[in-house]
Amino acid sequence: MGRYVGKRLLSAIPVLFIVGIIAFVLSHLSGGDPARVVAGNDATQAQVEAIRQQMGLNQSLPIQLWQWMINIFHGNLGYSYILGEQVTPTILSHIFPTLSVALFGEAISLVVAIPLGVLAADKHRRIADKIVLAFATLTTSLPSFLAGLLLMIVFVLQLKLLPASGFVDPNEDFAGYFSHLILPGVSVATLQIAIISRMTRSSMIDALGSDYMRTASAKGLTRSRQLWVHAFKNSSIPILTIIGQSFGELIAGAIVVETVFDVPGIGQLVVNSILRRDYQMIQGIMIFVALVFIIVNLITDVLYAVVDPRIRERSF
Amino acid sequence: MAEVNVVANATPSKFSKLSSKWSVLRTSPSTLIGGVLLLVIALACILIPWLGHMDGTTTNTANMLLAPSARHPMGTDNVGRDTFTRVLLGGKASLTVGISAAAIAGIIGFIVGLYSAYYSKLGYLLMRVCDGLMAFPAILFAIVFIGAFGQSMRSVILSLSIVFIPMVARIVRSATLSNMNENYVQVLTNLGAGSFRILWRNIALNVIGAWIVEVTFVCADAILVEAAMSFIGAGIPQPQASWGNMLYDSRTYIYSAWWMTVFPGLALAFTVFVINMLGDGLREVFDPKSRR
Amino acid sequence: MNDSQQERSLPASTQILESAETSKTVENIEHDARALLKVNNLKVDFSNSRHQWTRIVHGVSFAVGKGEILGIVGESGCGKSVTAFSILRLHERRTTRYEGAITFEGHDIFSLGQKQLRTLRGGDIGFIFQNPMSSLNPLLTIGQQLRETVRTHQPSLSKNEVESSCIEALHDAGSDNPESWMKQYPYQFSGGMLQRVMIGMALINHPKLLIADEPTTALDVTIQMQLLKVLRDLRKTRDMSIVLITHDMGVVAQMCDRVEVMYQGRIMESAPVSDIFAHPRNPYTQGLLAAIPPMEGLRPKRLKTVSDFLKQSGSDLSPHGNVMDHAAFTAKE
Repeated sequence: MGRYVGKRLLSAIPVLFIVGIIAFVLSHLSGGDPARVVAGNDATQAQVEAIRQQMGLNQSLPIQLWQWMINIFHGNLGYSYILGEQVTPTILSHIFPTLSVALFGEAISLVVAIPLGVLAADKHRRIADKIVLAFATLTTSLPSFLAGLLLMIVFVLQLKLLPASGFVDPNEDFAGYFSHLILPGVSVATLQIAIISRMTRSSMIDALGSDYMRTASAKGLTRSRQLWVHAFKNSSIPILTIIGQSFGELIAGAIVVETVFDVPGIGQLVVNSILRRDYQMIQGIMIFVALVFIIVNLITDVLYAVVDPRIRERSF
Repeated sequence: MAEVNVVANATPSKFSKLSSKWSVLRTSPSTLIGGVLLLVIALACILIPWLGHMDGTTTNTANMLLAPSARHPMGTDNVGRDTFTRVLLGGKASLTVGISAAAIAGIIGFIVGLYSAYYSKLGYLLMRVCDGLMAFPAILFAIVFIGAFGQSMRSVILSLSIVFIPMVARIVRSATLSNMNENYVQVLTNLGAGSFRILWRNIALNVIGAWIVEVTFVCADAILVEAAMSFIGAGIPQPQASWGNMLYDSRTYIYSAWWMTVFPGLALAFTVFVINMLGDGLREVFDPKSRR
Repeated sequence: MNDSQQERSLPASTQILESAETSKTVENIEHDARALLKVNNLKVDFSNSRHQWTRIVHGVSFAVGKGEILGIVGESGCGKSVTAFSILRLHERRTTRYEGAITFEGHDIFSLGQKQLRTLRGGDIGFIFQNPMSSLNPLLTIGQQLRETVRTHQPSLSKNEVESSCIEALHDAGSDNPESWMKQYPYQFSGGMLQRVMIGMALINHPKLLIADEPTTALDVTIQMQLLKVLRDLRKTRDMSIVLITHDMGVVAQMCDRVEVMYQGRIMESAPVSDIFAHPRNPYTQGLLAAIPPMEGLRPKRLKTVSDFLKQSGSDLSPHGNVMDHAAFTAKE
């Protein structure tokens, strides 16, 4: 198992390297003179020059890139001269609300989508199946922020049930934290539910058609045991895959939904950093989000091995 | 070379496969309905504002926040612009972005996918770049790109094209790889056919079905990401109408002017739904195995 | 052991269609009194996605006595597996229609509820499938798959009792090392070993009837011999009845007491094994037997095929067996 995880980790390095180059190049294309921005309008040429020295901007771009990557491997994503803060803690404080929304949304979607998918597969080609499919097709077309706006009209303005916006620190008020997550969570969950329930349905249909399911039924197992133990275990690999793959869309959904519900998350930090031309921050965010994505994929890879003994075997 | 021609003419089973798709097309209702509805939406968004000399940008404070009426079927916004006009103009912008991005990403992704399957080392390199591009959400890349190249429709299209190249390239690559294991490619190689001939006159025709399906979904995705970008203020700049920035405007007035949210929102969801339906239909046509 | 078997048989409250009413045509089967399973004029229809029904089995009747091994033989597509699956109603419920009657120990299978059916499946009736490589769940250990079979049917057993009955079943199925088998996954096993697991799984709740659908077809010849021996021994030690479905006349000769020859969804001939090899009556049976290469003497240039015999006798495929249900044939289509 250790070797398997190690192999996966190694294969993430080239991806991370390329992500670093993309993030670096993109944020350096933005033009403008960051040293001038930091120094302010009244600064003399000499002062700007000094700041440029300090920021390391006088070095050639490949050297700057190299330095930055070395720092990343030491866990240091850089220093924002514009905010006068380290990048890492700033990102961490903003990623918390975003991840809260994303993971809460993921939890909702799993709880809803998996039973729906299993139900649809069990009732393949019947009414329940068709309803689930239609529901999935509709929600695929509903962007999360639009879902958020519509939910806001219904639950906040009409029913006055839930808080409209904002974010509450769970250490201060856990119930408040939770209630502020409900609407954003449901908003990002809509698309995930569609994606996951479709995949659950189709991989369950595949599994239900296999020979071992016939054996399970000839053994006299109950339908629920056939479905949830035998068929579900065999369809879990494609389901895990789709959860890993759609994690990017989940984060994207959370970033946009933040704007609807005024959640101080990574989305706001990105937009503000772009406005401030704070490219240390921008490249830090990009590499951080990519890291989260890579870690999620690593976790799904490990879960494959947990589910499937054949994958476990190959890795030893 | 004559022999190569014989073989190349023997593959037309694949050609005729393509042409037989047209008859299937007629029997696939979602393809037909999706295609027709998309055409109707596109024509409505282009022709109605043009024929009606409609103006979606001039502000008129006397008409602020009017509820839907005969004169303004979808009401007016916070600066007195007619929402119906802006929904149509926003649709034009969305479709332009979606179709252009899908076309650019589609063509480049096709080439990248084809060659990265054919040359394995180049393929490894290109696929790692694709992995890198896909390691962050499309919208994150796109807004940073906009930050670098300025906020305009052109940079929105360009950024989305880049983001979606990997998606197309991956599909084309895997379809090409599975084709390369087929006998006819072996035969062509043994007969001395060049890579260009094999790739473009034979494999390309067999990959194109999967490609069309993917490009259709990319178009829907591009429209969604554009709307999201405009919604957080990093997409198509004001005062040009876009469903995303109309929804952004509506946020402040969500308490008083529901029509500002509901109409552009419905237009967006419906259009994406129609394109997804077309994509699902095309998938049924080109990949009968998916027909469930 | 006998006590627990008693408990597992169906409760008295089960709706039972009395066998006397339903099995008019089985009456003339000689050993009817001892019959454990009776299939009477079974017809099976399947529907496609457009709800068009096709008849696969056209009125099949036979009976299996206690401790008897009945062979059902025929070419692929003749409906023998469909017939076997019908005994436990294993076909997809929505796309299958049954007519006729199947009675097991006097219980009408077609009128059982799902729950009663489940107690039969894997309980009193064990089932072995053709392809052991795909018939076991690849993601669960052999032990997990055996244990759940015991627990489903005998929930009152303790953990140790479950474990020991699994090991006993594997041992009876010819496993040399049942304890270590329990911890392994199907992919670590060969086809022959997996079929032993399948046999063990079918035996585990001491069934009265074992249905084996081409149990050795996917395996090589040496393994085939070993497994057939296992099945023969089991019949002796456990006094079990076996329905053996096969296309191999050699297997029939080694294993069975009686044989039903099936062709195109109908039974062509039904006779004790010794009779059928000595005096095949039906042209189809004659064809089947002639298609076996001779073990001694001159090798013919070309083996006769079934169709040679069918041509000879014209298209008339009426059965010549003395125990057949003629009505089922005249009523066809």
